[in-house]
Amino acid sequence: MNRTPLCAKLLQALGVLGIVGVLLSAYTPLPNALARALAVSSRIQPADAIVVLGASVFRDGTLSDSSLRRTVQGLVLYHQGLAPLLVLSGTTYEGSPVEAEVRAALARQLQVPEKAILLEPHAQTTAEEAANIAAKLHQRGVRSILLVSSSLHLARAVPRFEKMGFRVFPAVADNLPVDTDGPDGRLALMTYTLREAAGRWLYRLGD
Amino acid sequence: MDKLYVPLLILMTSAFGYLYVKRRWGVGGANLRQAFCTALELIGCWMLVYGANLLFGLVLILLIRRLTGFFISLYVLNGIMLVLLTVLQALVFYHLWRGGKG
Repeated sequence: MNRTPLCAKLLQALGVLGIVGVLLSAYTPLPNALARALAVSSRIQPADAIVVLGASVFRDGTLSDSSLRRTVQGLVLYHQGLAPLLVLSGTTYEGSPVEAEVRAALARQLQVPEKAILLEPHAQTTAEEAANIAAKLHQRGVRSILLVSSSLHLARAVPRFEKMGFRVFPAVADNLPVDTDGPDGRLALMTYTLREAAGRWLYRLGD
Repeated sequence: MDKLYVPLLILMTSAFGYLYVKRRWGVGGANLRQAFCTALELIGCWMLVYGANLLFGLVLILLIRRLTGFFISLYVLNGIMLVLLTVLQALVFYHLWRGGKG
């Protein structure tokens, strides 16, 4: 066996980098610090509408963890009387029911009147959600919104909705808190943070 | 203690495993060093292939969206399947590389 020493050394260096990265992510507060630097905090105030951004729904109609948390946060804000209109977003994913409709059914069961619910069932990206929801809300004279999503997703969602002319108050609904503890939680947080950082970068690139 | 349980478990089973193969097959420190180097090369190879898959996958999705209007979510790159299939890919490429230089 006569492997190129330089290639072997480079692969070994990459391997060391990978192991150190995983250990730092799992056993130090590095992911928490990175997530805190990117995350948006809640600024809950009365607004014209509550906008609950889509996450995902399973084929049998079960809302994903993120989707359910965001929906519940939206419902809580609505029942606190912070806005008269609840916008529920979410499309269909590979044969699943439409997420917005599943959320609306839950909202009706939890005493939100039909006329207070507005659906956005078509958007597939955050940018599309912002554009489609803006088109619907501007017709109703909505100027300010409470925007419900995870703290890391809000970092790119808030500027999108502000760009559409809204005054945006973030309302965080996290299923992975930025101060999560334990190796598994921190590794998941690191993955999520890096994904959202890449998402922000891609959105900036597209602008 | 809970957080350190898994690393300690791995250290213990590694130590037992090493002692066993040392007694059974008479391997020594040099073999252990070589094994570490090979493991690091494999991990490095996986990282390289994973990075390439992510980059190529991202560009391909953006191209498909732009050229065909067909929507593929970027979240498909976030799943465990990409990680697992990349392990397989990396193993094959690593052995190809070793064999090719031999």
